[in-house]
Amino acid sequence: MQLQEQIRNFILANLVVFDDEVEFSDDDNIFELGFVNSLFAMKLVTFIESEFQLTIESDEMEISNFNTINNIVNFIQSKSVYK
Amino acid sequence: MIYTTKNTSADFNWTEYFTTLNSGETPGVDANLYFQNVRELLRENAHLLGLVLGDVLRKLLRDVPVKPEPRVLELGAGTGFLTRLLLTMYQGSGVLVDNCQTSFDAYNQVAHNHADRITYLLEDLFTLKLTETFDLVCSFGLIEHFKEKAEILSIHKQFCKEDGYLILIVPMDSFLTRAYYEVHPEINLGYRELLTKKIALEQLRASGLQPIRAEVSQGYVYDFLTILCK
Repeated sequence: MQLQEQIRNFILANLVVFDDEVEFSDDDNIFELGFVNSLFAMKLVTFIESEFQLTIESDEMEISNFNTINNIVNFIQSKSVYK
Repeated sequence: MIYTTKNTSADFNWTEYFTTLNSGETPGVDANLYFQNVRELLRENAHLLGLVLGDVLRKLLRDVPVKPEPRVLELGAGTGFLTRLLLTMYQGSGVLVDNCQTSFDAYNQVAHNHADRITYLLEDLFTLKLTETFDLVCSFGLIEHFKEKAEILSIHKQFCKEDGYLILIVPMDSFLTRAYYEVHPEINLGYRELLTKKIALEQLRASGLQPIRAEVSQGYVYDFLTILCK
């Protein structure tokens, strides 16, 4: 499964709206769209750390690393390169 | 964000600055516009709060032997944001206590994923009668509302297990926090005492608590202080 698809599936599994209402691109800001709740960012951090065996440092806990699918994927890939 | 300097001499030209800002011929300050701009800059953002609070909690609880799936009690819980975040990060279950019907109603709007793991008690915490003690007893934005803190802190301690921990979170006295409350007067309900880290730790020790670690948030629209105590 592609990384984009994996992240999208995780977001879809944590929606706070009904599935058939949801349509978003890989560059849409998932927080501004209101599809996820305020606990989602930390849930995503925990998911990324366990799923990809990464440690997200305090100075990487920027909302801009997690607000779109592409930003999340880029962040994971940049971490994986330096792992 | 990039700022470019408008100052080309030793004396800053305020007249020119405000004339340009207002795009008019007459220099003047639109105080309301300025006020609204600063309010917008320092606007609460629940997603950002979740990330910043999660980050500071991880630092606060690093290497702390919190029991797996802890039982959490949150006092003056509001919507129980702190407990819901702790349960997201560490699993477990919790009890929220607040005697505000509006907060309870707001909690019910957001409870969905945690409803089976959280009990909400619509009660006055000063008359709270619970036989259970908890692995984590916490509050977020509670103790700064009390001038005399000994009683409210003793309630935290009363319901904490011998080997449990207290997590106290308060807005910290900093330039940023002062600016935040200055432009959000509508949320200044009743008494609110901003505390520096030093004063907060002194007050906790004076109330018989033992602070273990204190961490300050980074990157939110106000600064908050998180303290782990026994």
